[in-house]
Amino acid sequence: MSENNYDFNNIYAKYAVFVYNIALNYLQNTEDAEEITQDVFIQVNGSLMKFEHNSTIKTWIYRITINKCLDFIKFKNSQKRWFIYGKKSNDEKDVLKLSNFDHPGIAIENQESAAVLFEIINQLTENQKTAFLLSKVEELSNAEIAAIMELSISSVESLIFRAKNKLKEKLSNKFENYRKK
Amino acid sequence: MEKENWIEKVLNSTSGITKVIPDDQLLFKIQKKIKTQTTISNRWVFTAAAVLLILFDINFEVLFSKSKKSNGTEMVASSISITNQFY
Repeated sequence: MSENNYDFNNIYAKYAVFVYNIALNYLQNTEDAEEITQDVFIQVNGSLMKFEHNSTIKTWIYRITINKCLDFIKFKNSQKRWFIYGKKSNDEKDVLKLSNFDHPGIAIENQESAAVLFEIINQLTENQKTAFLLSKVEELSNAEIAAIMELSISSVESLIFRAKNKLKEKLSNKFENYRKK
Repeated sequence: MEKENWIEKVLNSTSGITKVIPDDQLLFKIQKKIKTQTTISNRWVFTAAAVLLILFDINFEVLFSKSKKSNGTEMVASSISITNQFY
């Protein structure tokens, strides 16, 4: 098979689990993750012939998946804001409470803690969230993350550092709030 | 200390996360969507082409009939100006 003659079914077989799990980490919901996986492979199928090999296929698919996830989150959040108040609301806490945490990849004993963690991760900026998830959950190297995000390695390191600090700060506040109750 | 332990526990809650296998039917759903998209897009292309042809034809007919009418109008106007002289 020539480099330009990819078989869609082979690509699906090779990358479906990986795409699905990235989507699951971003969206923490199996239904949404499945929807994103479908959208990703439909786009891959449509763009395969135009793929210019500026990166590996895996990196390319990673980028498509991440962009689809981020667009989906923006769309869902704008819908939820309208639903809560009938007009736009900037109260992120109310928006986030409506999310259905459903991540079968996390052990049952860690589900509650993971739900808290992902609630805070969802409050990070898009780049911080992406860098943190790819590093901490996907366990990619900083070089791999830099290739996917099209940033320098030092930028990725900075994003991960800032993400961790922000998470610790928000978790600290959350702990104080739990104590008050 | 309790706070630090709790924060560490939460930050490490994704340790040992396992890969989830998507539903077996997912590939079938994707292939079905791809097929539907391709069918719809061809249909829309042919519809658009047919509409353009019809518009072209209408425009041509209108222009052609206008040019005929304008020749007749000019002849009537010239005959009136000959018979209705004001001076």
